[in-house]
Amino acid sequence: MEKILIVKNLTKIFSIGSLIFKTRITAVDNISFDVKRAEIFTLAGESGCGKTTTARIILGFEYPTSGEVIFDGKPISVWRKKRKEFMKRVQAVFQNPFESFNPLLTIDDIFFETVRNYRLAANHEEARELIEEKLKIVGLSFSDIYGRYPSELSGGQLQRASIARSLLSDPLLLVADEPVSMVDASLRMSIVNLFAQLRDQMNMSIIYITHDLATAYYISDRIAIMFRGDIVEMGPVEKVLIEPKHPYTHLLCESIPEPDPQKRWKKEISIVDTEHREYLRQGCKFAGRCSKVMEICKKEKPEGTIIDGVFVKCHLYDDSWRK
Amino acid sequence: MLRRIISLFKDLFEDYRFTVAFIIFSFLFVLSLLSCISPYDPLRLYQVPRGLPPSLNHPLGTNWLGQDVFWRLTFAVKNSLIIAIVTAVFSRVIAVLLGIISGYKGGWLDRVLMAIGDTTMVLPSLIILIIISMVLKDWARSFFNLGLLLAFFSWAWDARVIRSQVLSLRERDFTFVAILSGMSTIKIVWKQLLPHVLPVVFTTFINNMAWAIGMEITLAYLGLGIDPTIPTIGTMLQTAIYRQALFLGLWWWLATPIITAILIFIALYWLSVSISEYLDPRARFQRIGTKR
Repeated sequence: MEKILIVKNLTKIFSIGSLIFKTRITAVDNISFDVKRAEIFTLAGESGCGKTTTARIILGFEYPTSGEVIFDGKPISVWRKKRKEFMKRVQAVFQNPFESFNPLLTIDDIFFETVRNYRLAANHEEARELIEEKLKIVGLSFSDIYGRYPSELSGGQLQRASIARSLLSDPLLLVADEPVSMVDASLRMSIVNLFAQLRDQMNMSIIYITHDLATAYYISDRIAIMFRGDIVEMGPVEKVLIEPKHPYTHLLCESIPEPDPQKRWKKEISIVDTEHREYLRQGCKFAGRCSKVMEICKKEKPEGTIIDGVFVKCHLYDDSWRK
Repeated sequence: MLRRIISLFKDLFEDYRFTVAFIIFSFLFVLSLLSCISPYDPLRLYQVPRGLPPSLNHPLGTNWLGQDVFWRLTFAVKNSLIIAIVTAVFSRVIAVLLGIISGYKGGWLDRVLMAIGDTTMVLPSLIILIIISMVLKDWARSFFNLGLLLAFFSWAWDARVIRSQVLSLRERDFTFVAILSGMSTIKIVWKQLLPHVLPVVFTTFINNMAWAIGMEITLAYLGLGIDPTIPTIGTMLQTAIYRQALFLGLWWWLATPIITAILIFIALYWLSVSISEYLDPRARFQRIGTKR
């Protein structure tokens, strides 16, 4: 299958502090993945693991420290010079629907703005029809948004409007940054189903960023588990989430609540290190919390290995250091 | 639209400070309009008997130079307000432009612009204003040039305030959505960011006017700035002191500019305080809470 997006050895380092007391935080540490056409690729992990930073680099809002992002055959540095054409093909949905619309402007304003800037319609009537059509996909109508301010709509309506706006230009790639985390449970399923429908009917590729493994399992084709800027496990979603290999993925899967009142969480999960210290850790960054920690983990970074179609970054599965 | 404006004023008039300031200001505005129908030329001397106390013919008396104080005051208020508005408009234009550019673009441009701003901020503005208006005496005599000069020393603070607002606005999701919708940078700034910055621009505009009037009075008191024969609040005060108004017993000559200046300052201060409080949503909630 055609690869629409290729991310190669992407690294992003943030410097915090002044010239003298500088700490460097590696928010994204040498990650590589690719997204195929008509595929939902999930980036999952706890908060602060670099998911959003990765998304922002892909969207061109942030410059990578090193590494490459190739979209549709051309590197992102080339796309940056043709920003409008790039944005027409790559759209995004953000987490907070109340923040996605300017509170001082009406909602239809940004819709017409999108249509006008990408020349999607010849005149106002056609623009209106196009907007109507896209709103229909998400279950809204033009009168719901026309002349309304964001404060007049509910969060769910706004999030659907936000998705409708991103669909206006029929993008090849949709980056959805936690699109359902602020939407109530009933709407969550319909939005997630909408993504599956977009993939199947419009051949859209979607990068679905989430910390919610249940919806990730439900819709995605492949999943990458991120931890402290690293992709620790990546592969087809059934394999990764049903038979997790990396201890961190284990931990994540165990913490999904099950609808069984008799069932209790096995143990108290304690966070030993602070986020900051974990980022600066030598060797494997999970070593501080890992139940299967070995001596080598604290000294050396694990290399990635591929075991039965799944990419894992853990010393448990990498035998090269034993020799 | 009209209904919104009416309800806006209704809310504002609940604050007694706004009401008082508004009344004083409309009074001053009418005064400055009256200058158009003044029976006397403000520049000519000895048009009326000198040294008369307030009476029906001369509501604020006449001064020792044979000028009617009331009609002179109408010109003074007009001229002082013109200087204040010229200063405020120019410094707002500079502050908004530089604040938004350095906030939105960031990087080295931000550092350079803010370094320039910080430099003008730490300069002892009064001393430099005195020196410039001494050296360029003829240049600084026109209202417009004096306004420009004052504007140069007052944009930096407000540029910083606007920059800090833009810094937080550009990280908000709706700015990214605007980028995703293909808007150009200029359009994003104009349409998405500027409306958020306008309240600050408005309140600092009023503060800046008060500062400019104060500065003009200070310079005029020192015999600098505007030509002393042209009536402004500053030159009226300066002439009264210079011509020994108190010694001659002409208290109305001295009291008129002083009281007018005090009124203007109170009005401008209360206007800016009440409007900025109105625009601050947290303060608005507090007000609603204490009403019952």
